[in-house]
Amino acid sequence: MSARETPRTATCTKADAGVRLDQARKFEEVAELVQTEADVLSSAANVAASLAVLAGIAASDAACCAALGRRSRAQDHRAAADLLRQIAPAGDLAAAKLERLVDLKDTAQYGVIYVSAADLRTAMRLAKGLVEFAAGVVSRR
Amino acid sequence: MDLSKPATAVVPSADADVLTVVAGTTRALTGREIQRLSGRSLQAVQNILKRMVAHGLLEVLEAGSAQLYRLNRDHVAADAAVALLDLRGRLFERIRQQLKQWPMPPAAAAVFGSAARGDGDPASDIDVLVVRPENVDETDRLWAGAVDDLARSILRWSGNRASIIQVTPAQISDMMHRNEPIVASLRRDSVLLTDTSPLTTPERAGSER
Repeated sequence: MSARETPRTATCTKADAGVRLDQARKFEEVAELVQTEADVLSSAANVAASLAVLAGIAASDAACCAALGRRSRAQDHRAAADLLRQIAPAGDLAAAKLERLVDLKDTAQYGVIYVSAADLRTAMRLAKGLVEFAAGVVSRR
Repeated sequence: MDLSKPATAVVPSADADVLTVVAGTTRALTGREIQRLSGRSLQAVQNILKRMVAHGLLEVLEAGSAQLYRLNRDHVAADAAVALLDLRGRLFERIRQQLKQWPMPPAAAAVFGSAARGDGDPASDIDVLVVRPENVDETDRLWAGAVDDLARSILRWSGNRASIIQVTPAQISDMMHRNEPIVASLRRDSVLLTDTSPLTTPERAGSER
């Protein structure tokens, strides 16, 4: 571990970025499939939103691995947002998207209330934005 | 243009790799981090860093015994370095803008294949899928002219030949049912050029009937 490395981050490679980006896309794709069930099954909205959150987190890891060579290992996903913010350009916008997405995480995964249709749409839009951002960062070179 | 490393159209490849790393973050990085992220040899990276520091394009920060490097974003050349980061994005944006000017707008359009993945080489085609509205004939003069213009523009903007595939929503639907490879490629790697994805056009066409 280098002198600058903290226990809250782990080094990662361009190959790792590609793996996490593939996972993000797959989470997003399955989230879209489950979203189609949400109209008839309320609990499906929570599952789709959870998958959207996973897509966003995987996309964030991908972007951080590609641009910074490190990703967050902290339990608090806001630490991942702090790393995302260090990517230029538009890392700050991506970080804001991740923070909004993570705000929905607890309701989606552990909440006893159903995720609303509007929140699900927001989660899908945020996840899609993060996957697009990560794809752009990963393909820079 | 090599869409896997577009900046090499402007600067030598090792310089392009280092510039891409330092312009891609606001974080100050060690020489070894830049070496690892750029995939270049430490010696080559050190030489490039030394030159960029001498020109003032990079600033050096001391952190204990380590030296950290960061792009000096106030430098007059910094904007050029940052622009090199997103040449693919600029190319796709130009295509989007041209599509908006079409007299008969496509139902959807996307770049797919190597250009969307960010790999390939200077000889690679740029694959574009354009969804033609059902009520527009392939031989329609305005439509065909717009497709030809787009191909010429892409060649002019990038140096790469455009391979433009035209399909209707009904044809996309058939391709999806047959699970054709192009559908997997669109799902996996496409960059949308319109608000609508080509893969949702059959659904939309159905709901409009």
